[in-house]
Amino acid sequence: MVRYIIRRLFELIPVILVLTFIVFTILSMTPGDATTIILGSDYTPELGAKLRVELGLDRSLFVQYFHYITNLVQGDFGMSYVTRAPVLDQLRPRLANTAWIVACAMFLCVSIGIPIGIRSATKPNSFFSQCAMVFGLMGVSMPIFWLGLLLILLFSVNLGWLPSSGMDHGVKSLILPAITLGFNYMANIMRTTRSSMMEAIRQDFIRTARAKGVSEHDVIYDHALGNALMPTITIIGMNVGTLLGGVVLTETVFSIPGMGRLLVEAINQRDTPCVLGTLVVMAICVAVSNLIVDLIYAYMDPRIRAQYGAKARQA
Amino acid sequence: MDAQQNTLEIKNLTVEYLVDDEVVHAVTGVDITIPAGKTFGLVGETGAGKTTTALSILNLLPLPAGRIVSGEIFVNGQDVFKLSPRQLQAMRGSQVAMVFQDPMSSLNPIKTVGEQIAEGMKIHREVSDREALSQATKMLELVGIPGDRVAEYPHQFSGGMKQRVIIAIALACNPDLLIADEPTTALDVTIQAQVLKLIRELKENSRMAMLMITHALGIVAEVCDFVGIMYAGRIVECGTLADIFDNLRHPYTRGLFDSLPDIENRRAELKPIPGLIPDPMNLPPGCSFHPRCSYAKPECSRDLPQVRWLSDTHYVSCHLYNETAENML
Amino acid sequence: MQATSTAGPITTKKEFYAQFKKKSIAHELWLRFLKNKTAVIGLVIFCIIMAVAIAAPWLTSYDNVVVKMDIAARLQPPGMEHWFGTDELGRDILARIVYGARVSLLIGFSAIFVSLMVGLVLGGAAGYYGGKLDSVIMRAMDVFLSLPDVLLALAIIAAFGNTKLNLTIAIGLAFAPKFSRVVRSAVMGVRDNEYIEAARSIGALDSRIIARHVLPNCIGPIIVQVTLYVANAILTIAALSFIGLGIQPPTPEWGNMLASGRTYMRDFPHIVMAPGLAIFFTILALNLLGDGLRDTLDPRLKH
Repeated sequence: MVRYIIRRLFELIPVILVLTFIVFTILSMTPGDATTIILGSDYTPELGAKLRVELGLDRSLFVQYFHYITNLVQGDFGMSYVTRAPVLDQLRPRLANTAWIVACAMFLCVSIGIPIGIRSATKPNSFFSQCAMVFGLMGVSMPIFWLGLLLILLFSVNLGWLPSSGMDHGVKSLILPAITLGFNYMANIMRTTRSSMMEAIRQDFIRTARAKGVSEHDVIYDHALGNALMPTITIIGMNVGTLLGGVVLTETVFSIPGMGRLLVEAINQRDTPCVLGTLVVMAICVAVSNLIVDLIYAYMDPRIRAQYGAKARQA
Repeated sequence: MDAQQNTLEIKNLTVEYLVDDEVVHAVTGVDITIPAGKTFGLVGETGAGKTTTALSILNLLPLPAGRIVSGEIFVNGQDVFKLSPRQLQAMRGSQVAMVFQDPMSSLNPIKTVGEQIAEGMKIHREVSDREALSQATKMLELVGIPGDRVAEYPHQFSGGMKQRVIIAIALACNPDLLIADEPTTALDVTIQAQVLKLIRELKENSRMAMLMITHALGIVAEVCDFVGIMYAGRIVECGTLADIFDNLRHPYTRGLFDSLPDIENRRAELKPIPGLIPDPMNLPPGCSFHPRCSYAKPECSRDLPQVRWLSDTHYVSCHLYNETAENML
Repeated sequence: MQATSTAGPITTKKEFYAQFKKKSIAHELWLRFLKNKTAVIGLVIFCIIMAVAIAAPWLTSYDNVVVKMDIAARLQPPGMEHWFGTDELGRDILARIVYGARVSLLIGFSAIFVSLMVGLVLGGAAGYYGGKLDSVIMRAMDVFLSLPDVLLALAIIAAFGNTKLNLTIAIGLAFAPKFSRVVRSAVMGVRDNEYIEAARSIGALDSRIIARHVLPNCIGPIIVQVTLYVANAILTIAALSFIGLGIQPPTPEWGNMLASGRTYMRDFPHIVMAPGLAIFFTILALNLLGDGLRDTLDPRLKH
């Protein structure tokens, strides 16, 4: 099992390299001259040419990329065109804020979505289940930036319970953004859990378990759920990316100083190193979380586990 | 007959399914009695209602479609339909155990076979985890699988071995009644023979009663003491092994035996029963077999035939025997 | 027995099949679809939206109503003259919603069309030929799938700017890897069927087999995904416009309407209701439709 983990970690590296290369290449095609942006009103053709050489912008794409990666590995994300300071300085505080919101959102989604999904699968024709299905459908169709605005109208403007922007109020600041960010995701998880539970309950081994005298509670929460969790985890994993996509929107709605807002600002200011930096960090996060989900899945599925671990026991 | 003597008594069982607003008459008026230690073979073609009968014993019918309309089932003298869910759960696996037809999908893929065998023991008896697992190892060896495979997962076993694991699970708590629903049908012929041998050994070594559901008369001959022939949800003939094999009376039973190819006379033409099994949503009036019966009389399409006892052990349900007990075939 | 019919012998294929009174498959599928109430609701809502979008020029005037500012009439709540009220520049919100539908639907469908084309080629090749080609293509797609669609689209827009064309291409490329996956698995499901082997054994060319046998049988899952991804694409356009990197004002787009109305929403909440509801209902309708198509076309899932 450990060997499997190490192998997957190694496989992560080329994935990240390719991802960063793609992003790098796309952004390098930005028309316009970086030097004009950096120098601003101080721009003269001579200064511009000097700066180009200094920044290595006259070299080929691959050379530039190579330098970028070698710097990146040492923690140097380059210099922002706008602040003239290391991009990393901008990234660091923002990353924490974003991380908090994403973590809260995931926690909410999993802890609410999965139980509702299970409950509505065990009694598929009940009122609860019908409501859950309707909620699920609304949930995946809801544009989260609109949801955010509505939540602000209700909870900030009308009721005054929660802040409408910023991160200054501790936990209270996290609630609305987390709900907004996770809304689609939670509905997705709920629907997936429901359908994979229903699928699992239909299986023959459930009949065997009942015939053995296993209590209905254990049939559902041990036998069925154990099998249903695996496709659910796969779907959860596949959609972590959408959470990161939603981060941009949520932070815009709630004016949160995070990675998403930084990305938008950087794009608007044509600050390519900053854009690159944010996208690279986000891509790495997605790749790592995909890996984590894959590993959890591999751990849970004895067919995979047996391939890589239990062989030693078989002597 | 002292009711306590009989491990299983099914009286006048009628079961229906509700599918898309249509009623499927799966089982109608079925009586089965199995004394302790004896094996009852329930024979019939696919769709005759055998599995439904078996599932009813443990009240395992698929909800919401399946409905027990009427009848009583007594296991060791207890009325199954009057049991609370808890009592029913206590009975399943410990007094009555079931082996299903398709071994490939009947085991939970994410639990070891040892865990699955031990699970029943932990539910029905006060045993520690370690004790249960060690018993599970013994059960595996009982069914002919090396005990050290107790920590393996179902996907690491072949079809025949999976079926043995399922038998091990069924026997783990020493049930009084074992229901085997076509236990060898999904297996290769050679594996079939092995599993049958195992079943026969178990039968000889214990006082376990068995309900063996099958469509193969050969298996019945090997293992069963009593035989019930089922057609379109009803038992049309029932008796001891000798009654049925040497003294059969019902035209359908005759058709079943005749359709077996004769290995001695290979030039003889095969004699299948003409026609098809009736649609259970739309059973023919009167005797359900009459459209395919070469002995059919006018009353066969009007009236349901009554049960006629030909001896202490042998009864038949056919209009041919309304007046006489003599063999009319 | 003498034939009493006056018709002559059966001569055409049509007559031959007619004697078995076979309903066409399309007709049967349509009847099945109609049984699914939610799917029908989705279809109806979507048709209404399409109809409104297409009929926009006849319903209201672009220059006079949609973009013309009328400060005196600004920020009016919904009433008789302006059914959805007016926005911060005095423009009728309903008219802007109607025109906004055009933009969203047009770009949404075009983008998915791009995705579909790319996906058909890549996924079809990967699924049909398998082997090394499949591995290479799929690994490439997996890498792209690691980037969330919004982010990939953002990267492309950051580089090339946010014209309508760029938006279409950006979103199209963002969804292409997903489509490739769908097409690939649909093709693989069909490829192993025996009638493909039969076609090959009589010497049919690969291209012919793909065009006449493989693709027509894959249409089911592909249509379902097209519907669902169009919903996604429309959502992405609205999202991008909301953060200012999509369709720019004064062109009406539901997302940028929400963004510009945001500043006033505390005192004039009506300004964020209509555009949000428009996005919500469009996506809901497409999701219902997609789910309904999936249930209709995949018989396995019914019970």
